[in-house]
Order: sequence, then C-alpha cells, then structure tokens
Amino acid sequence: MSTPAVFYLETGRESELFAKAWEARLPLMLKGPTGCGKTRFVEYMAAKLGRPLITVSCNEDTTATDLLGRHLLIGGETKWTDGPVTRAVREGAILYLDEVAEARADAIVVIHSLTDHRRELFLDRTGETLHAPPEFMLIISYNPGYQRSMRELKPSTRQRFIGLGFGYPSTDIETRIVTGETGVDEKQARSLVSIATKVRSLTELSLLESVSTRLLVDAAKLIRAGLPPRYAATVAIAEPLTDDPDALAAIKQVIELTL
Amino acid sequence: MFEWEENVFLGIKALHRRLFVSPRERAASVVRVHLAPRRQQWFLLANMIAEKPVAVFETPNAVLCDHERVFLPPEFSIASTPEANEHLFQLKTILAALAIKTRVADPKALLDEIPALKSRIADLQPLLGETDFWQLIGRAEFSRANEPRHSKTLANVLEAAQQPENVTEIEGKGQTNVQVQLGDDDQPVEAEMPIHTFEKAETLEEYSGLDRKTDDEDELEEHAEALHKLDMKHVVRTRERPRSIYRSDIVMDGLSLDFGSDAPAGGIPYPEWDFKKQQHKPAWCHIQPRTQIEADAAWAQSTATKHRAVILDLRKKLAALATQTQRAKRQPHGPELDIDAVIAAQVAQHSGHAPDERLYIQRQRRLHDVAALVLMDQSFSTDSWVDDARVLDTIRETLFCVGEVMDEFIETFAVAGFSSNTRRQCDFHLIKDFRDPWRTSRARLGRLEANGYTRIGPALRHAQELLTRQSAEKKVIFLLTDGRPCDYDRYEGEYGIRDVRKAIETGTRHGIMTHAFAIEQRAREHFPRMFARQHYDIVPNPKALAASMCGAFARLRLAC
Repeated sequence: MSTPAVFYLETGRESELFAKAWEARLPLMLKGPTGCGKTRFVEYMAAKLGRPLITVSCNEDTTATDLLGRHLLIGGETKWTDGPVTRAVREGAILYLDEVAEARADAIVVIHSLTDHRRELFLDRTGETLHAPPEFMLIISYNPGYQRSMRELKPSTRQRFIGLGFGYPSTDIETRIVTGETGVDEKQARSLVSIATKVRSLTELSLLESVSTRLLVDAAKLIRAGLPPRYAATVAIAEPLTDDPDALAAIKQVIELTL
Repeated sequence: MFEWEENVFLGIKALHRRLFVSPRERAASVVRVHLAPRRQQWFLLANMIAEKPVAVFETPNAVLCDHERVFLPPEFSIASTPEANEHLFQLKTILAALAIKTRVADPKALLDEIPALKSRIADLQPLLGETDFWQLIGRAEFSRANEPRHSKTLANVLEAAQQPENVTEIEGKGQTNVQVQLGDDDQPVEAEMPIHTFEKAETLEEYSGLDRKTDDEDELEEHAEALHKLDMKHVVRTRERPRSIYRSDIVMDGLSLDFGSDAPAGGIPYPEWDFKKQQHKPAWCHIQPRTQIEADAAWAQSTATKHRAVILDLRKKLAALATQTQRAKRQPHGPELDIDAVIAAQVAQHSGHAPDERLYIQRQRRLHDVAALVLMDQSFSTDSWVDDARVLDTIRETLFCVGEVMDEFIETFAVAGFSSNTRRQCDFHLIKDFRDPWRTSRARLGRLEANGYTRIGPALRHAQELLTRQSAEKKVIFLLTDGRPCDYDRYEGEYGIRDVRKAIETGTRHGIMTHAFAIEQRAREHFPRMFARQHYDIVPNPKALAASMCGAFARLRLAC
C-alpha cells in the first residue's frame, strides 16, 4: 500500500472495512447524502490500494448496453466496444457506480452476477463470459431519501452488498477537513462548520437540501482566495441551497452572527 | 341585534379613533414592526440557532420561550426606530432559541454562546428609552409540564339556524398558561347566568370561562376588537356548533382532559398511538363509515361550467406530462420506430446475431397499477372563509376539477371525507368508492357539509384498510387538511402529530404512501413533523391546489 495523494480524513473504520472487503472480494454499497465524501473516499481507497478506478455516474437513461458495451457500425463493419463495466472487469479495476438507483432496472440487473460467488459478467452480444480477477471490486453509491421520483434500490439488489453508511462528519473532523483541504485557519473553518451544523437542522423542515462538506470547502477556498468571509459564505453556502427568500434571509443572519 | 344608540356610539368611536390619534400612538405607528410578514424568517432562524425543531408562538406576554417554542409578540414598537424594533425581534428569537438549546432560563447567561450578541444588545438598549431589554424579552419558562397544544377557542357560540353558510374566522392572539374547564356537553345551555354578554366584553379584563347564553347572529367581526382585548386565562369546551370561530393558539397548563368511558361505541375499532407510552391503545377510535348517496347535480353542472378553463388547462398539462414520460421504448408494437433499437438491430444483423424485433415505441396508459384514495378534511375549520371563499367550497371545487382530469388517467381512485367528535365518533364519508364511475359520483361532492373536528389518525387507518383490499401495485392516500390534528378529547399538539406520523409509517410498511396537501402557509410549521420529506405540498392559494394535486398524481405514475 502506498500513501495516496488524495486528501481524505478517516471518520470511522471505513478504510479498514474497504480494504478487508476488497481482500474478501465483497461488493460494497455506500449510502449517504450528497457531498459528504463518498466519491472522495473511493478515490482515496483506489489510490491507496494502487488500483485503477472507473467511475460511472448513472442517470435514468443508463441502460445495460451503456454499461456493458455495444457494437459500433463503422463503414459497414461492426466493431465491439467495451462499456465501463466490461472494461473494469477486464482490467481488474475498482468499479464505482455512482447514484446507481437512478439507472434503469435492466442496467442494475446486469451487475448481479458480478456481486455473488460467480463474479462473472456475461456479454450476450459477443457471447463472452468474463471472469473478474481477484483485484476487481464493485462499489455502488446511493443517496437515501433524495430521489424525488420515489425510486429506491430493490431489496434483491441491496442484499448483494455490504452497506457502509456515510453521514456528515463530526464538528472536529469536518473542521480538520476544511483546513486540510484549503488551508484556512482553524478558527474560520470552525465558524463555517458551525454555520453548517445550524443550517443542517433546517433540513428536517424539508425546505432545502443539506449543506454538504463540499460547499464548506468551496466557501473556505473563496475565503482563502481573499474574498470577505461573510460574502464567501453567502455565495457558497446560502445561495446554492435555496431560492426561498425567507430561508435565504435567515441563513444570512446566521452567517452574520457567526463570521 | 344592535340598538341604534349602539351603532351611533360605535360610529363616533371609530371616527374619534381615526381623527384623534394620541401622540404616543402616532409615534409608535411610525416605528412599529409586525411579526406576521417575517414570521417564517424568525421561525427558520430559531430552528437553526436551536439546532433542533422549534416552533414560533405568537403571544403578547413577556415570556421568552418554553421547552420547544419561541414566544414572539405580534409587534414591537417600543424602540425609537423601525430597525431597532426589527433587531428586537431578531435578538429575542436568537436568545429564545439558545435558551431552548441549552435549557438555560435566564437569557443573560446565554451571551457567551454567540460573541456578537453582547455588542448588539448594548447598541440596542439606548434606543429603548427607559425600558430594560431583559425585561422586555422575559425569561424562559420550562418549569411547568406544559404539553404543547393547539386548540380552537370557540367564542361567540351561537345557535345554528339563520345563515348557515356564513362562518367567520378570525386569527386571535396567542395565550400561555390557559386553564380549561369542561362545558356541560349534553345539556343545551339553558337559562344563563346573565353576567357577561359580548357588548360588555369591551370592559372585560379577563374572560373567566362562563357558558354564556348565545344569540343568533354572526357578529364576530364587530366583536373582534373586544375579543383581542380578552385575556383568555380560562376557556370552556363545548360540543356546540360554532357560528363564528375565533382561532387562537393557547398553551394549556398541564391538565388531563380524558373523557370517561361512556357507553360502548359501535363502528370499526382502530388503535391509536400514544407517543408517551410508545405503544398503541388498542381499539381506541371507532370509525363510523357511511356511504354518501345524496347528490347535487345542479352543483356539479355549475361547477363544471365555472371551472371549465381550469379543467381544460389541467388536462392539457397532464396529457403532455403523461405522453412525455410514458413512452416505453423497445416494444414489439407501437406507433413510432425506436431509432436506437433499429440501429442496434442493424448492428446485430451485421455482426451475425439475431436482431431484436422490439423496434417500436409504445405510448402506454397503464390503468391497473395505481390505486389512490383522496381523503379530505371536513371539519368545522373548513367552514371558515379565506379570501372571500369558504375553504370547504374551495376544497370541493378543487376535488371536482382534479377528479374530472384524473378520471381519464387513473382507474381506481376513491374520494372520502372525514370528521370526528371524540374517539367514539370518527365519521368516514365515502363519496366515491374505487369502482364507482366518476360521472355519477361527482355530484355527491356538492352535498358535503362541514362537521366536527380533525382526528386524522383513524381516518388514515381506515383509508389504508380500504386500500389494502385493492390489488394495485402502487397505493397512495392524498390527504387534504389544514394541517392541525385536533379533536374534542385531547387529540392535539404533539400527541396528534405523533399519532398521524405513526399511522403514516404503518401505511408505508404496507406499501401505502401518504401525500398531504395544505393551503395554509402556517402548515409549514407542523407539516414537516407529520409527513416525510417530499411527501407533502403546501400551496399558497386555492388556485394552486388543483395543479399541485395533479402534479403529485403524475409523479406517482412516473414512479411506476
């Protein structure tokens, strides 16, 4: 294992779990709100394990063909092109399917055979069966309670994975993430985190999405670049979250009280 | 009836008030800041500072907060500039929220929580003249076990007779520490102690909870001024139908108001959730199901004509949504070619595989996979008037428009109304059963009348029961209410909210989703505690309701 260049701060035992799951060849499911560090964690672990990472951001048009690959028609000739899943299996890479619940049902089903003891992928178009090498690992992520479309992962899919829940980090760790990522001083990072904690308590009222660690890092970067802190927090935290004038005014007041 | 002398007196008084404004009042009116326009903002600020859900409660009393509510006055005019009065609201909100967060009753001890506070208060004090800031905002009152409650104070109770359609509702001031005594339920109010009549109310300092003889008119607006001066420390509950509603939030002193068991009730028993004991009370509520047959065909006809434009518009929007999203690709038959499938088939043929024959796009109308039940609040509170329209009429007409459109899209939907009068009498009026044709059921809406209170829990449970008997893949309840669970026998505040939430959770476990709608802006403050995110809509005005409901229907179909 090498020391990765990606900045990631451990909040629990997640990297240990990841490494063990990788060794045991178990697929992993990451759950958590947007911007809490799921993708960063996967990048960090891929670097740490020294494996290439292939990321697919799924959306409602993602089909099995998009994942497995397709024949392309080139001047009357057909040529098979691997999709990202096929490529990851061939290379023994770490495959990360982001927001997998968004993909269409047929797309989700094709990965089933990769998740159990078979660890194989069947390409019906080419008649090929690929066996995943030991280094291959499948990771999916999804954001519970986020989909407006009421879409959820089917239990038959969920139960093929080990689940790792991500939340927003604790105050101290989040402060360290903000300083570590941007180099602002600790006092300022702490104020930003305290704003986030307060705004997050509004999430229960369903007015807005929660403040992600990512937004805090953005705010800190702007402060570091020389913008006045209150202004930076307003443009990086308040404005992206909501268009509701009352909510905006209230968040701005919290910013003024804190920074 | 007012005598003519009284009218002359009132006229002169009003004129006097308009012409001779006291200098103090004139000064105050320039700097006065009201709670109402920024209430939502203070509510959000309080939630953020407290870092947990808190409510805003309007009361003129100089109390800071209790264990979960920030008390704010309807207005501040004591400081010498409007900005300073605005700051008073802000600082009181912040200090109250901090008090709730830390459970410290004395706000002076909270100054170190946020460093910026001290200087802000120091800047404000000179603008307050002789009034002390700390006295003005008061202290927190956690000590009493004042369970949160919302209740309607039924004032000016008049015998139902002459103008049944005209019920006025006025939002009254909030009141803390209220004592409640029970009215004599079954006996009609007889020869009264002729002590307080409402004409005299203007001189009352404190209303002390006496049953008054009622007269026959709705004069609430005339009396509003007097009512606002009442200090409602004692209130009475009765079962009488109100002629006017003076709605006011009150915080009651911890009293138990359970009704002893009367005769056993008939109907279908349902459990109710007691959040304090964390268990269900078995067979607690009794649903009295009734199928409505009476109809008003003339009403249906006139509503259809009146709202023709709305119905057409909704139909157009929904049709667009439906075709856009209901295109199923790669079908064996269909009116359009699926170009992606054609290319894929071509490729397959070239590479020596058998091409897939599913080359078409089909526009599907899936009729068998959704069952919906629309559940509407029929309680007295829907009998009040908002924006020159009776709330019940608005709901009826909205449902009519939605029904007209939905009928073409969803085969199985039912419509029912609910109201209650204690747990023994939870009425459930089935207006349209799942298989009833809309054309014959729609006129029944015209005969709906307001009745009783809002016990949401049992109505939801009964609706779930009806839905489980349907074979559809997706089942959903659409709930239309003003958002406050309340019933005559203590079904209020936190208790009611938790019961509704429990009923919804139980439904979700059985695959029945609940989506709620409210027209009232204040619903923002209690809806999130009852319904999960994305599972309710609060619309600003009645017009938006129909569109919002259709949108929810459409989303539901997308999810299939």
